[in-house]
Amino acid sequence: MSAIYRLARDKMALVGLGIIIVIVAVGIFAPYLAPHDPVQVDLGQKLARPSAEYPLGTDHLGRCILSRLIYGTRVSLSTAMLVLTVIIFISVPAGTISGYVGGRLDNIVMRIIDILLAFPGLVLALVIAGMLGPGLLNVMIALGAVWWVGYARIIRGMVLSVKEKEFILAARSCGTSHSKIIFRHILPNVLSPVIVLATLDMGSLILAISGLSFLGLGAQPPMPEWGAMLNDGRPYMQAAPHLMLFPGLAIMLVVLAFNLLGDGLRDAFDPKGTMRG
Amino acid sequence: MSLLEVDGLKKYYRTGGGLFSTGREKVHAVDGISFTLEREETLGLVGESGCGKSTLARLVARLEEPDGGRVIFEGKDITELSGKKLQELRCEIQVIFQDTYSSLNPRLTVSSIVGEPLANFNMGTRKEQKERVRELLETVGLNPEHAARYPHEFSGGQRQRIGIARALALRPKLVVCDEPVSSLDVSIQAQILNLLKKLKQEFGLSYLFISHDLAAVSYISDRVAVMYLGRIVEVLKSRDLATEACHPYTQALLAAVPVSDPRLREGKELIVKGEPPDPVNPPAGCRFHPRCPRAIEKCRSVEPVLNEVEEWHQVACHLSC
Amino acid sequence: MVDLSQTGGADTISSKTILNVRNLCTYFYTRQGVVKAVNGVSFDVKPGRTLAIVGESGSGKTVTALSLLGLIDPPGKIVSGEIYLDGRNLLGLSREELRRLRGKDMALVFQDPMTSLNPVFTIGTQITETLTCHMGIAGAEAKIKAIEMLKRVGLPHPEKIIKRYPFQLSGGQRQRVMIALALSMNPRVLIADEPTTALDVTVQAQILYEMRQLIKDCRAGVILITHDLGVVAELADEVAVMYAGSIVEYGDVYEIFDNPLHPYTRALLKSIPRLGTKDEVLRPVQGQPPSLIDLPGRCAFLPRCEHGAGGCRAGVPPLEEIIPGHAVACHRVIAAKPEEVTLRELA
Repeated sequence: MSAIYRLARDKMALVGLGIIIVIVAVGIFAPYLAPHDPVQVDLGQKLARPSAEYPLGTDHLGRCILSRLIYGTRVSLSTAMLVLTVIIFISVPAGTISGYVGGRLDNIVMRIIDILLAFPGLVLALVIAGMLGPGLLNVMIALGAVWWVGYARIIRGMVLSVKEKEFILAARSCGTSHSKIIFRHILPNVLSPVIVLATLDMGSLILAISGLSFLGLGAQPPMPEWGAMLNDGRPYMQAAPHLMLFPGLAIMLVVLAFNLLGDGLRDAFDPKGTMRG
Repeated sequence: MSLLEVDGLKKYYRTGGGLFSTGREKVHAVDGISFTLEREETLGLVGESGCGKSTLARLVARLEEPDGGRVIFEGKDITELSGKKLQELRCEIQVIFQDTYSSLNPRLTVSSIVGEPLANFNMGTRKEQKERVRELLETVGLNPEHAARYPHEFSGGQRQRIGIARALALRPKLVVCDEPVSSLDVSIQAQILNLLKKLKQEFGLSYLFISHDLAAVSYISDRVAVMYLGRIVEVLKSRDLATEACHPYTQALLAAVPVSDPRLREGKELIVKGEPPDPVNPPAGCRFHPRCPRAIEKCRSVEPVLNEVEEWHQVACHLSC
Repeated sequence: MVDLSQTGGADTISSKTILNVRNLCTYFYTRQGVVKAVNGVSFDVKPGRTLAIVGESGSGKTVTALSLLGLIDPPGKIVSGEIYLDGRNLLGLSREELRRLRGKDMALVFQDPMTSLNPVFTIGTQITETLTCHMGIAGAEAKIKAIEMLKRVGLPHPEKIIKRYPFQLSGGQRQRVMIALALSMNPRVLIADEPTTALDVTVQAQILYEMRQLIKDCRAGVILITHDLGVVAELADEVAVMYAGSIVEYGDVYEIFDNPLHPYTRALLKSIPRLGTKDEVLRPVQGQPPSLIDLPGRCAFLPRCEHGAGGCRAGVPPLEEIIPGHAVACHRVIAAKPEEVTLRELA
């Protein structure tokens, strides 16, 4: 039975997928959906409660929270996806070559990975982003630099286990070149767990980006970004809790959706549960 | 000229191998093995687990690098071949594997599995390759219509047929069969053995047939080589196996084969007790002496060499016949 | 022998048997459909005798064993049938009662002893714990008993073995420990599922040799599950040949080897290579075993049978006693029953 068929039977995964599709659509059609300009300041309307005019209220500068959330979707999702792409582009070659070639090269790559893994990831990212200075691009660089390590290690482990399979030996014995062995025999057997992992990590990455933005390192004002919105709302937590409530809910919803889909994908690719735990 | 000549082949594996290990512990997987394989002959290689038979298979197929000795194929030393020359050798020597599950890539269709060697060597156009795959599938008794299916849609026996088709694709001269029937059901084993016999006739193949099953080996082979702890202890014609075998280990193996009729079980005696020793520290002298019922003093210190006792019959035993 | 065509209750049970299985059906309810793994199986086990259940993978032999022990987990289910141990129907027992029965009255030896021994305890601890749990023997007494058990299964230096962990033993030693553990309870029935399949031939020969002695001594009824007719010839007193979830031939081991009646049994016997018969050609059954999902309402072996005829489509053949002590489920053989001689000629 195919993985897609299994996924299609998993209700929770479909719910997750549905939410993601809606959110992506919201991001794409933001100009049509947002009732106001997300960066337009109207100090006369600041900290307004939700109303017909501003369905989710306004922030401390009188900007429409709903519009900022809608536009923020673009920033948060695309940043996370971009970082993920970078991570995969670094980690897949590093892990695959390290695992396939083995020997001294493997040892060097693994020691680098061990050193990087010895630091708490988010703190290291914080340091790097701090050194590079505030800005969304720098946050992306910092997260990519820290995050690829775990992927590379997992990929290397899977490459090692696939490499032991007799079909690799069979391919060698019938004259298949190394590059063809990697691309035809090893990568296809390694990629599905990577996709699962990446989906599950989307949530964490959005949280991390929001977290760094919350600390003032990521998106710079007036760019609407969920984490930055949380940060903006912090001083008014008592007086106007909706400033933090709605961005917080948005982050939670996206993270939940990606986790549901990720769990579903894992079960679909691996019905026997070998990837779990 | 023999098709294959193996001369003093050695392969050691280091055990442990961790950061702080001295790396001095060595498993003597294959420890000085010599034999010849004639054209269109099947040489069976039997032995228990850990005797080094699978390692030997991989050395002959040049899938592992030996630590000593030579492999000579059609008069050419192939031990040192690499790169392009090694690639060309792949057309001559092919392998059939034991595990029908792990030897086929689950993500490729049968036609790409069987067609892979053809594509590697650019044998004909894509269309010709497709045609050849169909022909190969038919040869091994599979429905060519099933070429677009994936390995998991087949049973164990059918999967082994796919493996055989892949091995035949390049029209090799020598096929190394590494326990090709051990993971299969009895009735399927017999189907595959018969298929291998038929293919040998049809294509003039030579087999190096490795198995732990003495009866299967003697059924398919012309000669049988018996291995114990990295060494060959006896080589003889398989039709003489039951009557002429004279190494105590060969006799023990023969006696250990379960009876084929319940009436024969009464009064059956055990010849050897215990299990093979650790190949890290093989015993001094004859490696079989700690389990040998007939060991004499000399066996403890002097290692016997493989001697010809009659034509086509070699034994490594101080007491040999 | 009990007439197997009957599916009656306690009244058909001979006093000499320990275990009686009647019309056992175990199905697995999967997404693809109902897998009829065991489909109406009946047999008897007598004390001190070994019944071999022979079949290829997917024939239902292992599921039969697991059903006896109440170890069928969902989606599997024992759909119908009766299992009598000393006249008591096991299918009426609660989970807890069954658990107490396992290990004590019915012991099991698996194919892979590594997975059935706990890797973090020594061999001694595992045996003494079982003894304490099921027989109330503890302390030094249990240790002495453990050493005695290990000696009985032919393990050298048992006092050293009990201090070791499972991974420090070889496969053959582990299997001996498993047999010792199983027999330490003096079980009424010992179920051995492919006990020597994972072992080397010389080790297998030793274990079979020990088992033959032990079975003789302990008076337990033994169910030997195997695919290897050689092991059957070494150990069995009675043989049940299974195909696609049903027993197709059942009888005394000498009868089965001398005079196999079912085409499948005959084909199986013809597919093992024998030593010293160089020029003999193997005649294996062609084709593959059927899927257990949509078993047709006729003989399941028909598509692979070389003698198949039109009459074979007339329903599933019942297992019928042809000669005293020899039952077979084949329309052709049953029809030919009056002329026993011709029947042998057919074979």
